[in-house]
Amino acid sequence: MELIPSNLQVNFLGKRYIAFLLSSLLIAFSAYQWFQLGESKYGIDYLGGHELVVKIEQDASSGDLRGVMQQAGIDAVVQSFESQNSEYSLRLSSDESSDKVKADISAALDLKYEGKYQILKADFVGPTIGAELKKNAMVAIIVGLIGMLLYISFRFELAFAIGAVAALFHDVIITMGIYLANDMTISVATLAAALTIVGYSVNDTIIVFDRVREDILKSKDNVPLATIINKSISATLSRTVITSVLTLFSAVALLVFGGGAIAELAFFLSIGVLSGTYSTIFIASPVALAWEGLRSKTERTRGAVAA
Amino acid sequence: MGSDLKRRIVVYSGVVLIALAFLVPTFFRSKFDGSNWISKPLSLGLDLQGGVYLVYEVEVKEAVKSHLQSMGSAARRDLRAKKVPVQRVRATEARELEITLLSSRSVDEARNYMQDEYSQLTFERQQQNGAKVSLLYSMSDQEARVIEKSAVDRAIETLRNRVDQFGVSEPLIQKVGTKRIILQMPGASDVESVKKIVGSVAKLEFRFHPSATTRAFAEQVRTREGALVAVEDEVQMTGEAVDDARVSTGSGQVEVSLTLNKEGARQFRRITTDGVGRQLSIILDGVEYSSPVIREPIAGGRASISGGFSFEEAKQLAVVLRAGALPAPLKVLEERTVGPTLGQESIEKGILAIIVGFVAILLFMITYYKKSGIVAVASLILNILLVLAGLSAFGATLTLPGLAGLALTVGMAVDANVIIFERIREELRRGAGRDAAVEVGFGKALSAIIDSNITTLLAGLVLFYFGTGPIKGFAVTLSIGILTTIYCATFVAKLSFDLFPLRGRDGLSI
Repeated sequence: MELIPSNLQVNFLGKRYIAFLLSSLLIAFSAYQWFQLGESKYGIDYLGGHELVVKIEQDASSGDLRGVMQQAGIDAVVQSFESQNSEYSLRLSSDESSDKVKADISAALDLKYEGKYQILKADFVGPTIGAELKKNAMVAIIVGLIGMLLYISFRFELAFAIGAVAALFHDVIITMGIYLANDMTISVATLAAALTIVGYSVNDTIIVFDRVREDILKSKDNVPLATIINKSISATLSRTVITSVLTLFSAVALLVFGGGAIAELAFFLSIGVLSGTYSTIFIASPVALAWEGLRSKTERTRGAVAA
Repeated sequence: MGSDLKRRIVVYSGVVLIALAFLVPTFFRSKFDGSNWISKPLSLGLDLQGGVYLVYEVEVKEAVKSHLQSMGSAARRDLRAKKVPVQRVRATEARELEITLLSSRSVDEARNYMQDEYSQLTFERQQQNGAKVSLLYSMSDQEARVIEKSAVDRAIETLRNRVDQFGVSEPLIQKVGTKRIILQMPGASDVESVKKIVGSVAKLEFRFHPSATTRAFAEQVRTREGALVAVEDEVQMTGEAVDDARVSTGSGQVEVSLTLNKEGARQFRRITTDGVGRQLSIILDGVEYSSPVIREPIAGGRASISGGFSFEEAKQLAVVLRAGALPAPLKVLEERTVGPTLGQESIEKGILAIIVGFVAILLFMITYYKKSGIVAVASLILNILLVLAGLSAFGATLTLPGLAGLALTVGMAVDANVIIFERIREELRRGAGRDAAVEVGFGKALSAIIDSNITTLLAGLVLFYFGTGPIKGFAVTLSIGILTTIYCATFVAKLSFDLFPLRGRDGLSI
């Protein structure tokens, strides 16, 4: 059985301008989400504040709950978890102690639901910790990127490192945009998901680059790099697609069955895997090729000047 | 069978046996309670079993202040014994000790005494205020740091004592940085009482109500009902005098009876002898609980605190008094509580998700790669086993994100098999024989697998280094998963191909 015909040869690089256009639109969309949401895109991990997860054991909606909170004068952001209709997250940025917040919310809920609810989880993050977590996240991302850039340039060539890093930026930015557009907030778990996608994206790209590296060595001198790359992407296409499908099995299972906070993480992973697969084929290699083309052009110009 | 093959079988079986050995306690939890086996059962994170996670900051400035205050009190006692008219000693926020004398006559005597007895304090300046003179002393940064450090250490010690009284299994108390303490109590469900018992300072003080005949300075504290009441600023006895504290209901109301230690008993006799007829205020964390009138000197070292509390409150009070006071208040920086039902639910959901994902992968692999798919599935199962064994060997904790990491490992692990199988198929199409195709397939796939997994490992290690709590759990699972994946997909799967023919209708079943 074959999912992708083994003799398939596609001119992927020929589609690169369409891909660049599509990706630019998606990245613009993400940037719009990111800046338009401002600070409100962060959860309490990074902003500080309180978050409670409550389960209402009777018919309710986030609208109802918002009403209940408003009536009690509690300024809370109410969100329902996609996969479970009865569980809601309440976020508020008050300086009160968590006991007080919990008591206030319980009192408000008691009025409407008379004990038919449970507080499943209560988190409080102080402002100092929030700021620290944010700083740690920044450092983690930068260190991670530098590490990968170095490793790929060491194992391959700089052009490939640039291609891989471009692809991973592409994936994380687009995934983040879609994630935010679905009303989810950035938490510590989102950072973990983002770094996992960084890993996945690079992993996926490297498999193709490994093939390109091998095919360059095997090819005759006069074969253009673009032809080799097209051949390598085609040869690995079946693996790229199968792995993406299999990883999606895991991620989607988590999304559907994991519930609560895990569903958010799984959503990020699912989108990230899709984007990672697309970027492996349409972004990473074209960028590497463009970089290589740019380099040889400048070298030629330099050569001409020297002569 | 070749000797190389034999050697591989022995080594790989050894690895499986070691992994199983590490996992035995996890599967037979009850039989390994407190045994000296090579590993402990895999522990579950708070998010999976419910509990309380608190990050406290010790307010070390307060510790320094109260240290200065008690130095001042001791100095006042000595100075008064020398007939130096000390009106008041006061530690300030600026880490200074202010000694106020009623007249300027004894300034030299006071300064000489301070220089002899408290050389670690530096004389700063002298302020004239009518007839009164204030002497200001400061503490050096270095001295303050020593006190701060010991305050944090003592706070940890006290927390440990208090937490022990809860009887929670495996509480974790950990110092982070210079003045932070992480407290984890798995399974604890009543956060409020945890916080009350663990987080209250429990500074017990006995002071007199002011009287016209003494020179002591008066301060105001609140009673439990919220009314303001004046007490002397001089502390007669502190919680350090307490040896034991128990709840008693003997006299018809709920009380905490205190047994004082030897020094405490001596102090208490002195207080009750000097203060016959006066009101003695019993103050806990700045709130007056009761203020009985002293009728006669009390020897024997027993005292009691009443104050109209409930039995539960009295019990908490007894616990904190037994464990001793904290050297400084604690501020909650972060607090996470997970109810036990949510934890149980999360485990069930997480495991269900892993199983569903796994079955989907299994079906795909066996349909698509046939007998070779079975090899992949077998190596996947071994992989999960090794990840769990690895977690248990490192004493890591399985968290909810960790479960997600495990599910993801399953997805990514199978990638290595796919890379190899696709490569073998290519070789077969090119007309290579069964053994040659397997040999070349594994060989060529190796560089791709290693390069791609090392980059993912980099992401995992970065997460581990910068992550906290559950995220660390995710990173550990992911990183171990990557290493076991390389092992299972390249070495173990290769052995399977070498051992079994895996024949289909036309050659290799792949």
